[in-house]
Amino acid sequence: MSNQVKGVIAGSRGAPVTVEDILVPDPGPGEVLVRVQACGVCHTDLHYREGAINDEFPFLLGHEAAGTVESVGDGVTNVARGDFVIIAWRAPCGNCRSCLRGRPWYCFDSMNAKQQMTLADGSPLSPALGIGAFTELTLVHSGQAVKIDPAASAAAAGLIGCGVMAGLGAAVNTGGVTRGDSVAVIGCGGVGDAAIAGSRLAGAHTIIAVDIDDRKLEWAKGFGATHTVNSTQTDAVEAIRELTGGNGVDVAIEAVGNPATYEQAFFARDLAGTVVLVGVPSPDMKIELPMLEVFGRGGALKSSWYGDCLPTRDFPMFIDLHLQGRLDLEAFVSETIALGDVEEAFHKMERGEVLRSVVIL
Amino acid sequence: MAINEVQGVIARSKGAPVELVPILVPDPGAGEALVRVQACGVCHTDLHYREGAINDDFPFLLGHEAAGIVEKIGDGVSNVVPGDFVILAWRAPCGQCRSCVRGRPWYCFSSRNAEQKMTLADGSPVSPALGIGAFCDLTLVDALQAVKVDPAASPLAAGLIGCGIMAGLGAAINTGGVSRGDSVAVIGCGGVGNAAVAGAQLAGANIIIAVDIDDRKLDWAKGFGATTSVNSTQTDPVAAIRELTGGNGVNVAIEAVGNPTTYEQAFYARDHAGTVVLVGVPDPTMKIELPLIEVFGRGGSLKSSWYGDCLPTRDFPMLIDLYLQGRLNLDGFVSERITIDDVEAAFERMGRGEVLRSVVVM
Repeated sequence: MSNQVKGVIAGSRGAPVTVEDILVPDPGPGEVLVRVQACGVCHTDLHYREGAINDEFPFLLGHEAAGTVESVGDGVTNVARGDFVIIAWRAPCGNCRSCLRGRPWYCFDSMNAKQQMTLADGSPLSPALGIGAFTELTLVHSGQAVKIDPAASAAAAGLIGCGVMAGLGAAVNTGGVTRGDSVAVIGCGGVGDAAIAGSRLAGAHTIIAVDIDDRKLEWAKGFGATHTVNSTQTDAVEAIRELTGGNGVDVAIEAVGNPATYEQAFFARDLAGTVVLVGVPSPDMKIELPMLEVFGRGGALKSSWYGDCLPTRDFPMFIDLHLQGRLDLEAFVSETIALGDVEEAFHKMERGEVLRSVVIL
Repeated sequence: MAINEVQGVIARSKGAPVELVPILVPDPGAGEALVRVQACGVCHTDLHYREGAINDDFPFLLGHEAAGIVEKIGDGVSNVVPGDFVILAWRAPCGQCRSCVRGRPWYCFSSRNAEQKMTLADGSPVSPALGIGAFCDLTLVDALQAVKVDPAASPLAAGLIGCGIMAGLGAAINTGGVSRGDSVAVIGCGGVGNAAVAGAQLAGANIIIAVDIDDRKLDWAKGFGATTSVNSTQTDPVAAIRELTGGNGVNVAIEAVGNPTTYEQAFYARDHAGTVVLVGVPDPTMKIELPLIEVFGRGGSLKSSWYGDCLPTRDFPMLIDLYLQGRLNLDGFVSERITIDDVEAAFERMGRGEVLRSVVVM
């Protein structure tokens, strides 16, 4: 059986998104149908619209969502109808060389629904990040539906489904930030502020927020930044060194995705420090570094996909910390909007006016 | 306090051939130890010092990869006594810097060295290579630079743990975190690279791919545990490494050359989320350029390894014990024994890639 609902579609490269009728099949074996309650507008949705991910238009956008399980297919045991879930774009397959060797957060073959969602005329949609959640109903693999405490608001919880998890994990998983560490976060959008919040949660001593926008720096303080640096007014690397007794930071998180800021992160470190790249670069960007500096400064240059998260472990944990009052997720919700507002939300995002616009269904 | 006159190998000026000259070595003061050197390896870093590539503080007393016997100790020294067989370390954690106080002494920023200076016969100070200076009958170090190990070990083999072999072993085990079942590629199979091969084997790696431009080095690598070898003048090493790993690439790629081209090979030869360990020392003019999206997309970690991120007090005795158990072939690194007046010629043999290690036997 097929369900007809509305969904936000990117029809062709660069064209404004539109709200269309789509057909969402009932779940087959191993699949679940989720009634989406809230879905954040993430930069990756815009990349899909621009054709920067791949060419497989039309895309069903949205991938940062929470909702309730509407129905489950045969053999599904991890969730049941009515469960409140965050949808994950990493659902470890259990069979690839990462899963078999005990590192499911590096799974190379994340599970997705077999059946396709389509336009009203039956032509298949490519769901963003294997989800597609700017829609009333979405079909995913059951492994993508992670059950969490229903006391959390859907708008806040959904953000854990992508950008906020990416930032939190960049700090605590990939960066290994721990008590007493000094951290710099370059780029204080949604992901960067999540890295700040993660650093705070992990007990970092000094958390330096770096951005070109004073308003973003104010928000960063709210998430736990101990210091702020506006890099249009002062040299960021110099400022970071000054704030750390001349040494630089243990962990420098780059949440922009740009060679200039990556270089700043590289040089802002203490000796043997870590860079975590979580900002997504565009394909034409190149990084050039003096090799002797790469050798001499030691440490590790890392990158963080989805915060190296394991959704079944991390989503419930962060929601519980949120409900205890130790992680403010509501503060990432800059505004709530309707399905028809996604295009305008992209523009607000590009103008840096929001951390997250969240579609409420 | 006595001054000991001995012979030592110095680099007097940039690029000039090294000379064997009288060296005055003071008896140890508080916290210092006087060590009678038994054997000292010729390491590329000694050549770098001669070339002025490290800094300008000529004249240098060269040699830093050595084992010997403690001759005398100064006041307050309790970690060694005269007669102890020791390997000299160029990392002696200070206990007070921000790395040491936070529990990471292998990253110590302020390694301890002798206070008193060794000098030329005229009293002018020499700069000891890496704070050691061991192409010399006697050398003066901070007592904590002398790490006691089992005297059953041959000094020629043991001394190499003092620098290059530890660097390679540690690049694999400490920095690279190589573990059982991992796949590893080592690019550049000189002394350090072959030590990385040996370390990978010790750690239980399943696949160890040696890459070099010289078939003879590749043969040696097999002796240290490489499961297969790739001559990169004959075949594209990245393609070969992928083929040898089911198309995936390796978990850990160790670059033991110090060159942008080989670094790039290591970068692309990895499996997704794999680790690069740079242990080869680049020269100051070299630049690495990579597409940022590849840095992001391939995940993992690009690391570098100073002295194998070793903690000498922990690692030296452990590796010597494994050697004595027959589980780590250190003797295989000793390509030739030479005398103290042969160092210049040894540099040339090293430059021509004819040796893993020439070892000066005092």
